[in-house]
Amino acid sequence: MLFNSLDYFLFLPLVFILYWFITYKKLAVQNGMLLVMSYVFYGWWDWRFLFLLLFSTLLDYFSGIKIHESENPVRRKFWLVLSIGINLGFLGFFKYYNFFAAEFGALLQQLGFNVNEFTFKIIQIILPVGISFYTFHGLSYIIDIYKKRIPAVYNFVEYALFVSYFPLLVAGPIERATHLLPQLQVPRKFNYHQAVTGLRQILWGLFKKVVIADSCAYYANMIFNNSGDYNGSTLFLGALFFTFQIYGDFSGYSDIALGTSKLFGIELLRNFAFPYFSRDIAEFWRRWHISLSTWFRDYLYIPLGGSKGGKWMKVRNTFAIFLVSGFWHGANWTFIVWGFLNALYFIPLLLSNKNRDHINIVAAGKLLPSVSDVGKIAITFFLTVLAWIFFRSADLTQAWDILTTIFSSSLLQPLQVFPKEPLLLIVFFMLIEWLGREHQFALETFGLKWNRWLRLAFYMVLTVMVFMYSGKEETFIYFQF
Amino acid sequence: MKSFLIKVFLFSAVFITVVIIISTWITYRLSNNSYYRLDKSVKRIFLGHSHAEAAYSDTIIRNSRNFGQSGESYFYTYQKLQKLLSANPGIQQVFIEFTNNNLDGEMDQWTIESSYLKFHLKKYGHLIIPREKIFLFKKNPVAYMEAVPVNLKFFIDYFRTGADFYYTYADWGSFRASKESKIDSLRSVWSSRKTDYAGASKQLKPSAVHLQTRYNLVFLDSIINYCKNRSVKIVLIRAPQHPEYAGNINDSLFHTVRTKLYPTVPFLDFANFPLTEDCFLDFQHVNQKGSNSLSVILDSLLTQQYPLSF
Repeated sequence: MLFNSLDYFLFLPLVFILYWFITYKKLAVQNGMLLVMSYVFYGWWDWRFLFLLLFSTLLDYFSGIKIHESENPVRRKFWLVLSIGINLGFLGFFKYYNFFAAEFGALLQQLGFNVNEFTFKIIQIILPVGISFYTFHGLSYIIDIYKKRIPAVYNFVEYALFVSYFPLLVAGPIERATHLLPQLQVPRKFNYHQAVTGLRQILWGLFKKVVIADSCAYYANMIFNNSGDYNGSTLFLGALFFTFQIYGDFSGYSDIALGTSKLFGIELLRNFAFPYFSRDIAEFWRRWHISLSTWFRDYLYIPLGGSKGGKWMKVRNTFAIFLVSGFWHGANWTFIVWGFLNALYFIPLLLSNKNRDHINIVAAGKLLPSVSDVGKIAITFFLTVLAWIFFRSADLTQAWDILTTIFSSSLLQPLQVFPKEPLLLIVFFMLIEWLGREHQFALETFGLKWNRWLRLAFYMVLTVMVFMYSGKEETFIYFQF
Repeated sequence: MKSFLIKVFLFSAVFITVVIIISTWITYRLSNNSYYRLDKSVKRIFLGHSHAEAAYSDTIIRNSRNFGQSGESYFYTYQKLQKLLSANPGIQQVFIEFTNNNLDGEMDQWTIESSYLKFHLKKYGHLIIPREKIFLFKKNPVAYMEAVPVNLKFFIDYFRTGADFYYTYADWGSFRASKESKIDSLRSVWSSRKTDYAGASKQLKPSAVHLQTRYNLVFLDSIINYCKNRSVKIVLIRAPQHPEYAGNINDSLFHTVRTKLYPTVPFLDFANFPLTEDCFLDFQHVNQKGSNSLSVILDSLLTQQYPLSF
């Protein structure tokens, strides 16, 4: 079920009514209902993959208890390795089998081995929606128990709900057991302010997705799918459209997820913090897909030694985290190069100890940034746009062709496509984002000091715009990851 | 909680009111016949799906305009026709493509399947009467609901941008013929499909016609009645088909249906019109060369058989 579908707009009020009016008296019943509805939400897409979700949940549930109850290091490690191995095995099979089969076959062929079509058969596999997300939920839970940061959960419904809670099930944010589970274990009380903020966040998320991302998607797809027909300036415009498409799409999804969860009195981890106003790449990565970045930091970067070792160790670990992050997005060299490029951007800051120069919010308390900040934001944004070209391209050849065309004299040629409407929408969108950058999301407090009717009119305009631009029901980019 | 629910309810009510106002405003503005007015020289119109779209050249056939459009079922043709005739009283003759695949069950999908419904409702949503809107809604509520905002935005953009000629903007169909001929490359594909058609034809009996299409022909009836009520001459017409066209396997059924259901409606049959291989785009559509040949003959035939009054 898509957040921007009609189905969801019938589903959400139904769950809200069941949650606050029918099952509210008993926590176990309320959680059980949420779990059932989360499975309905997931099964709406393809019910067969519910079994995979259930299996993964059962595996981590029992492994967690076994690890928790055992003091024997060998047994503890056995259950940890078993759980991680099976989880990553599923992820690897569904997401990466064909990639490795094709690449390994090609490598063997280059080395002179006789590889026929049956040696590494390419098979048609449907990638279960959200497998990367719920696998990471389970992994963090198991690793945290192994590291004795948290105890195992004995209530199966609570654990299963932690893994499959519908707002975050298919595209995150990637939650931590330490953050979400305690909220599921205590009764929730309806909070008017929280619910209203949630609705506002849903509205802003829908605006980002339906109005901004889907409008940009049309032109980004048109330009990238026919990249050979366009000059450098138009290709750069296409990359710009994709830059706003992916931000609107993914951060919009996260806003709808967080807003939805607020309606149930449950706070989820923040996933985006106005990344396109970052002054360097390190800041960008503290603000983009925060739940994944921090996951990799805690479960990969730090276990590898983090920044504690020498320069070589820092560089190695940074490359590791960015390459794995790229590969997490999909089985394609374009994602790996995207990760590699971001590592290249990041390492100079790390080696010169400037990676934490910009911890605070840009131009906090001011209306406009300084000239120096504008320059830094522009450079960071430009580097990000270049990296997104790899992310969006079908293969490395296309990405390279686009980049060489952009960095040629044709960059100075007139635009072959100049759609005014999406460009105006982007300006409006970024203006609101700028004005709201000191808050959790742009609309959190935006307009709250206005006259009540003016504020309502503003929300109504946004709502009508979402309605007018809807109907296409485009899927979310991050569903494929 | 009470305060929250009241506010959500009120906001939703205001939102629905705003949408209704916008919708009413668009319908009102588009009810003006001036949007749909054609050049006074247009006395004949051609309607139908891609067969009509590709076959009848309105630059060759005098005083005509082709409104054929790919993927159009009679339901949407009917909506279009009503507005065309009411806004253009000078139209004297309507030629409706009536061919073998109009009997297929697939034609019902062309009316209610999501992508078709959304595509057509975007353009004709404001013309459809409530009873027929309910029909569509019942058949595919989700697609219908999704099509409503698309229809509104489509025409808000039309008014906002002050776009060009209405028919060009709204794309009500026009003569479009390809210069290509793909017969050779398609021959192998269609020869395998012919087996499927042969299998299906065994179950296809004249009495089973409404099992194939349940409502496409209902709206052909509406089209015929509407024309008759306005004293506009209606003619069924069938575009040329390649001799190897497998879709005409239901030909005996087709003729049975035509003679039984529409005995008084004239029928111009060009299915076997002699054309060379290079006059076809594929087995069921003529290309520009074929269209030119056909249109020259058709123009002279219409002048003789269906003269216009000026």
